[in-house]
Amino acid sequence: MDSFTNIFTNIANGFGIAGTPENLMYGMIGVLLGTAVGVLPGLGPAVAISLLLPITFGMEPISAFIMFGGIYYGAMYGGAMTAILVNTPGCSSSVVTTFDGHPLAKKGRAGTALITAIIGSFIGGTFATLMLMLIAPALVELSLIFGPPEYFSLMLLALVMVATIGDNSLVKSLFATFLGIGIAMIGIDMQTGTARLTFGLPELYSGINIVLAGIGLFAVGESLWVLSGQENKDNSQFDTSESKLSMSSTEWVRSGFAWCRGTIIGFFAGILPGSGGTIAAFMAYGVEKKLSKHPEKFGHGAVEGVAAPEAANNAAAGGSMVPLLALGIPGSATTAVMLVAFQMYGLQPGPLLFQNSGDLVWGLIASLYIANILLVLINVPLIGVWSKLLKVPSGLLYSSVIVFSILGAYSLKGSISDTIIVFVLGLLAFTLRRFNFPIAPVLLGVVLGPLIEQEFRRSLSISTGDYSIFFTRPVAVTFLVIIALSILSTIVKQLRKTKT
Amino acid sequence: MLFWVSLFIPTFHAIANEQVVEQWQPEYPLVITVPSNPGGGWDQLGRFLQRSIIQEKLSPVSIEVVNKGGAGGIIALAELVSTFDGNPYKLMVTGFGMTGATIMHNSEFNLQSTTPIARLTGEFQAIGVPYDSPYKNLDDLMQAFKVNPKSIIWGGGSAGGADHLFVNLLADKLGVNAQDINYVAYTGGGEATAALMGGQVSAGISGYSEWGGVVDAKRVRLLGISSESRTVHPDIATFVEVGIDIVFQNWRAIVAAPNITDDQRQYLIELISNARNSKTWQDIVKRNNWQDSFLIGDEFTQFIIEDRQQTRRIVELSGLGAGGEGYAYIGPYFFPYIAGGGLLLCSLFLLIGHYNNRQETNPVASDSISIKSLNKFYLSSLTIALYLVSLAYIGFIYTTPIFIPVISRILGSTSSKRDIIVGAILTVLITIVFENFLNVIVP
Repeated sequence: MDSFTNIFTNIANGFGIAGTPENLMYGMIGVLLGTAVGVLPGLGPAVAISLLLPITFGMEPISAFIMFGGIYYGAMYGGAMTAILVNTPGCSSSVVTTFDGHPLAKKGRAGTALITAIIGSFIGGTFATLMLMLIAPALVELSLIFGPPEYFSLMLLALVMVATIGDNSLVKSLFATFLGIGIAMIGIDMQTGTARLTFGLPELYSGINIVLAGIGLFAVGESLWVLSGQENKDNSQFDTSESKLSMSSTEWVRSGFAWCRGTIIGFFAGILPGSGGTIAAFMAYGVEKKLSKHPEKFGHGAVEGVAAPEAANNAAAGGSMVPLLALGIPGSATTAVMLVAFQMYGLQPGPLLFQNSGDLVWGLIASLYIANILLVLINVPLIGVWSKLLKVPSGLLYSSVIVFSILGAYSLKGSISDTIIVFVLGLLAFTLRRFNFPIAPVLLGVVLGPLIEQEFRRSLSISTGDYSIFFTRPVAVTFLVIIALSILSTIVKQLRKTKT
Repeated sequence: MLFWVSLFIPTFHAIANEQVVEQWQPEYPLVITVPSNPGGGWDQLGRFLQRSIIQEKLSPVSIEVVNKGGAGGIIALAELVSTFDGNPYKLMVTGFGMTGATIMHNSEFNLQSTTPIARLTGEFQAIGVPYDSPYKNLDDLMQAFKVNPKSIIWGGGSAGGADHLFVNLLADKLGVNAQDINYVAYTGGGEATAALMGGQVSAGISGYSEWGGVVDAKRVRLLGISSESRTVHPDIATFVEVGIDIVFQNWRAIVAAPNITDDQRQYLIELISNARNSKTWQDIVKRNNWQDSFLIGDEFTQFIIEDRQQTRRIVELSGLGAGGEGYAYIGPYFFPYIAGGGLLLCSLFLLIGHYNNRQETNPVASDSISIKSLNKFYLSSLTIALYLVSLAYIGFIYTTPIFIPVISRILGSTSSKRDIIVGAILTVLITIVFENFLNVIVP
């Protein structure tokens, strides 16, 4: 009990430090900036924070961190906004949000989708911060149990669980998944340094990462789809009147469960270094669909399909702060940049940070809460404004989407070759859609493929080539058994289907 | 837009700065290319250097930093050497990693093709073990590695990087065969550290400054450091002490384009030297736990040549040079084959399914696309392709105002006048936002 009162006084203290008007202003700037970079394809929170680093040099550490927190959470939400409204996710972690968010918008319920996304983001972020405050060190110890075999089996589980997300045929989904894995193999292999599938082009050495794949397959692909007149983009069908902003009571209940499940999944995915928001969102969506009584509604505008992934990616953002603060281990690109920021202020994240700079840590945790609240306060009133985006004539809207996509791809490395990669991926996405292949599994392959590969090879490197490493570690075995069962059940279901 | 900004700032600074007039003075902004994506060691060096120069008002012109990542930096290197040949306004951050990458990938260019300006910082490599590891000192670990190399599982950064090459160097000095090294590559120091603490690997290798908090918290014990003497930390043994002749620094430096004049080179060396001597820079070096390994002029040029020779030897030892596949239990092509095989299998199933369907019923026609919309697709793809090409050769500012109305037209917009106006306004807005706020120079 004593420790809890301690936490209470500490956090109250933290709010005192973080809650000055000046800091609130920095938080607000952060949220706005984060939302903006989230909306722009290609630019993510990591880039935004690293660009701000030199500027924040002279600021109080806590002011800088409240701004970074705002950027991190804001970006997660900003990506969802474009995902829902124009079917072009601004960040890779919002790709999943397009599955149901955009169908909702098409039904004229963009407001509902945005509301459930914002509240989901808030719940995810707040819960993660709460956990960070209460049990961060214990959780980190738990996450250290995860070695390459555990990661391998977990990622494989995620792939198996989610590969069947769409309504399309299983074979087509598998085809798309393998295609994604193949695309991800392009570039320099981490374990050996060999340049693979690059056809001798140095431009391909750094490979096609999630960001490029997200922009190409979704933003450019969607634009091409619309441009060729595949969808009647008469925007008048989007009814954005204020009355439709609200959700029905059953939708609140459905969203409520989805938020909670998404938050928990996202938080744990965030703690594990190297996993992160995109995987968290995919897994949350997969779980929602598996648990739902109406799985057929997914992909056609189910609120759970927006609520869960959005809660998950923000919870993952919060979760990745746990290893950063508790051990000084960055689990994502964004936290890696934040680590640099800590070091710039002469602070060393880790167990001793809580003892040495307690004020700062509690101020930081308080600032994460504040950033979350600001996210809601700033963005809820803006929902109506953003929904107006749909009133922009489609010609101008999609030509801007293409321009932003190309610039976003260009901004990653300042190279024209990346814009060409994005364009080619867009063509690929169009072709796949034309022949009724789903696109999402391609991205899933790009995200999970390299993780599965690297962890598999790391495992065998550690065991010096002995495959039994996968079957002698309890956590890994558990995941592998679940995978086997899930594959079996799918086969049984398919067989029953064909019989009847 | 660019020119307006750049011409304004120089006059302002020239007044503020009463330097002895050099024979050559820059008239346009200097551009520092960072050959990696934002957030790494090179990026920090470039940005903090920019900060020092601006803060201390050392340059009459403004300083810009651009990121051009990819292939261990050899893409930025190729640009500097070929496109910017003789251009005194282009500087590039470089370091040990780039030397390694140029050797590993048989790059056409190397650092000797550039004009070396100054080596700025260095970082010693340090070896850490879990705090409860059976290896309590460097000698124990090195003996174990020497006697039974496969029993030590090393965790560090990606293959061919400083961490990996350092382990190979170590093996070489100990007489261990490179094929027996059990090295597990991780994306970054953080993941490798987590693996070390979780006991997944037996020893970790990383830059000294990256270890930080876990050492103070007694989770990791640092056994060895690659410095000459115990200057960095009194408790960490050097390799020299245990009889292994290794002194190693992961150095970072600034180089300029080839074929610039001596005056220009002299000016740039002076500028970087002044920045390095400034209080701002010294402060930054301290805060980041870097080593100040300043070296300029011909000595630096000589260093680059020697470093390359030594690095080439290690890279070749590690089996990575000249397209070698290195040593790993599962080769680099195992998974690409799985993906390829999966694709083939699925295609086969789809073909069979398609064939069966055709015998039963007609193909589902409702899903297929009308000729008209396909034509539209070709038209818009062609427009985008043209846009990309002209982006590279003509530039963003001129092509975008044309591109937007054209695409809009394809989508059936009827008001061309509105589209043209919006396109122009949007282009200007995007340019301002990207260049001034997001620090991205549009093509």
